[in-house]
Amino acid sequence: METLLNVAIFLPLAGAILVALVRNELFAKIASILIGGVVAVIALVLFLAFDFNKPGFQFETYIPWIKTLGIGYHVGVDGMAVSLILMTALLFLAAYIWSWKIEDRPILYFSLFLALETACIGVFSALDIFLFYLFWEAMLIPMYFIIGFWGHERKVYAANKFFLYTFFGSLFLLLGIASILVYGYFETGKISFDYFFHLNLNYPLWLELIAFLLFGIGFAVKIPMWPFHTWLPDAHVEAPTAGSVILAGVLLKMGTYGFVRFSLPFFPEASKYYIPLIFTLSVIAVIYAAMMAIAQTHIKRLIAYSSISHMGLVTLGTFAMNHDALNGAIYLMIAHGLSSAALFLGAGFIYDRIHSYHMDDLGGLARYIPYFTFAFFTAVLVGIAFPGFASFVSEFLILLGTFKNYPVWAFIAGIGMVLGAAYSLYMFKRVMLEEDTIPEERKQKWQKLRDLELHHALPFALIIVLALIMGVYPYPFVKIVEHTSKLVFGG
Amino acid sequence: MNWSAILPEAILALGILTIFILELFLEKKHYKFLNILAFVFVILAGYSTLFVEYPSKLFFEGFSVNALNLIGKLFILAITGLVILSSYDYFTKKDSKFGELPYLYLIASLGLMIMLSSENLAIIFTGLELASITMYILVGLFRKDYLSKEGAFKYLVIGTTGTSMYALGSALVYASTGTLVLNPIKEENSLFALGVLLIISALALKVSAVPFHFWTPDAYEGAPTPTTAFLSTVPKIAMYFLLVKLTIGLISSFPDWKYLVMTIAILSMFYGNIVAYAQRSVKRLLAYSSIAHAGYFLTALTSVDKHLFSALLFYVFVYSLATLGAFTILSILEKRDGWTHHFLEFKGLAKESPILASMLALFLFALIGIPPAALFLGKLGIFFGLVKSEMLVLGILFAIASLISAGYYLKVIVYMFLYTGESKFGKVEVSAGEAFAIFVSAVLVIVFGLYPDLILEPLLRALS
Repeated sequence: METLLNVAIFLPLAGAILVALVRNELFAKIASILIGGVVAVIALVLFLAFDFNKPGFQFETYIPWIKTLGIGYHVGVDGMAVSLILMTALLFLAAYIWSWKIEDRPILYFSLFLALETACIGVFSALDIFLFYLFWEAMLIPMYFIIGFWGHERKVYAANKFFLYTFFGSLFLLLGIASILVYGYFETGKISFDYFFHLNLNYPLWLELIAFLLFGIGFAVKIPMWPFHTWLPDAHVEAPTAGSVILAGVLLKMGTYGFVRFSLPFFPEASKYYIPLIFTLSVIAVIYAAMMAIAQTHIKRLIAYSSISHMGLVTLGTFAMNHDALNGAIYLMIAHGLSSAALFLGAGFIYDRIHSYHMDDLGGLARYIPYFTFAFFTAVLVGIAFPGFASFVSEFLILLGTFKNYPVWAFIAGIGMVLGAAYSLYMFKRVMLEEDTIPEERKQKWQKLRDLELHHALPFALIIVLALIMGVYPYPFVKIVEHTSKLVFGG
Repeated sequence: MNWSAILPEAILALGILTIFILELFLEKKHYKFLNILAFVFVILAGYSTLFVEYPSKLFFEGFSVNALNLIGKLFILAITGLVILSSYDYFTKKDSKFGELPYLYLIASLGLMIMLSSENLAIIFTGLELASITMYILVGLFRKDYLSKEGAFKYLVIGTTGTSMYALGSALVYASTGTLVLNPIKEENSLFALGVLLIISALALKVSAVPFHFWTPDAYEGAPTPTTAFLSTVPKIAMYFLLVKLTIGLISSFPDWKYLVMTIAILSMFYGNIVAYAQRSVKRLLAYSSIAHAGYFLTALTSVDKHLFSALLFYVFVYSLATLGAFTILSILEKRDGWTHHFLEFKGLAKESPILASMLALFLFALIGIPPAALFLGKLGIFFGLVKSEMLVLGILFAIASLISAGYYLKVIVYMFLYTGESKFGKVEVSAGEAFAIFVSAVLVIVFGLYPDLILEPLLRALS
């Protein structure tokens, strides 16, 4: 099992190099889908083999690496990591299949995505802080080029903004890492980047307060929390479809993952201290981003704001300090990964066919492309936390848990869910329905539209099936994310 | 007498004489051959370090070999070899073939190697002068180019000021202590203090630290680009090996030396990084980045600590690899007529020659200090060394300065990759030597980033 985890991390990277060396377009496509498939199967095997009754990390590998700086190659997973890896592998597979017909520089495209997959799975499984930071930074460069090369009109601006914001954030993260390492050195006389070494240190309150903020800024930019969110709508609007899927589905989760993996266990006192701050920012994100989403006419921008809103719920649940809310937060990370990915696939399909993201250019599509309408409507339902889908379980758990400790905050955040239903259904109505209000020539144009092809349908199916399973049979998933909340809060 | 101790120097000297004589008889068309010959001698000299028995002393203890300066010599030879290989095509294309060029590189390296292997201030001076005079010539070695002559002249005037300060400083040290040999002595003597101050200033000038940095941008910009690659790497490596030796043996006896070095370091870091933003030419930008790096490196010389020193020497070496790679790519681009290194010319380079652009991006990312490039570990090592030596504030300033630097390197990458421009220059041609130099430095930057212990451990052993 340990070997399988390492294979899942490095197989995509090997694939990226292979694809770049062979330089054949068809090979690049087939190899990427095969590798994505193999990694997804491995992730599923790891997920099924994971024993959620056994506390502590599993499938660990430890190899000493840079001895002079106390760095080791240390990977392993807990419940949160193994389920996020499953989601990551699935979304990457969906992204490869979706990109089957890409024409612009496919070899570079697929090798960048494969490299990105290694970095993403690496982030979720690293148990050495240096290794974590390595993967965290490594993920920046492929994503930068994916937006910069295959984006839409203002891709340069968006790619730069994405890079500079997240790079800026990760420098704070680096300062935070340095600060706890320095403390660890003064306390024990040795420098170590190991996760467990730092888990067993008890930092004094002042250091917790400073380091929490430094780590927090790094993670908050990535999530993104209000007020660090402005890069996200631009990046999403300009990114290619598969790029948006990975950005919303996987990259945003790294910030919240960081909060659960590092901030909560390393700085428990500071986490309690900053609850009012985090809650304020989260609730602002939930309500403000939802209001912003209502005001959009650009589909991708709307979905981007809805992501910010949902990620606000995740941070709310993370810091509500009880098992239920944290379970819900981790569950929502996965559920939102699936729902936003499905919505972006929908937006990407519309752009592929009609070359516009603006609601004003759309409308009345439902009659002409029924299969797509079905898929897109399901994606909307997943997004608005309709019972029977994954997000329902997760948002319910978050509100339940938060309500136990902080009823007022839970109530305000609950309003966000109502707004979420409002803007998502409004978007669906403007894009797919309202056939009577659109001009006649547009209807004639719609007559010629082709419905979903196989490479569109498969990604939708993969994502929606998992969301459905997680919605109707949540037991194993809740158990597996509870493994992490037990690690964090004990019990 | 253990003659094996001077084997690398002897081989290099033999090489210099061979090429010197051959150059008199051979015609211009054998220019490439002379370069390859020089490379072969560098390889031989590097190989011969394996047979050196150390520690040993020669010539009435004027010449000594130990593990540390042997590593320094290997570093110097490695980078010199790459520079020689990457330079011949540039000078051929620029119609500036001088048969002297290959052996001038060798003479400079020889001088630096002699400088490293002595504990005696006077012999260090001879080595330093040998290298410096050669480098003045190297900067001016560009046919019919005004900027090159101007740069060389500035470098000559300021450089000789530096060496005379060094000479005067060592004379004063001799006057107050009665010996030119380095040994940690405590002298509370104003003559001694003045001497050390002069030596520090002279060396600060050689590593282009603020406030002695004026020559750097002009000399770097005026010099033929492969020579700039040489200037910004090989002498720097040698200087920091020398500075480590001097810090242990001389500078640390100077009262309040920490604060002096710290001031120079802080000024260089911030001055270099901030002024770099105002540059329009990428070549000049890299010159300012090397001033900033001088600041980073000098932070590590603020206390006598083997971890700090080993991190410093590791960082200098990998920095040299990345800088060499970056300058080599600039020289490849410059082989085309009309190229001036202006930012706007880099627009759309990624479309035109994707491999070259991504290599340059790799080296620039490395210079920012993004993992897995080895420079990140250099920075990390210096930072933790500073923390261990209880200089947290300096460490934090170092971190902030590195943060500031990210912007201007990124600007180059942004111009290459995210803008499109029409190409008004001819096709990019990469010679085998250049490709080799770029490939080797890129691979080494990554390999040492993943396995830094390959260098760090020998350095630590040599220092303790």
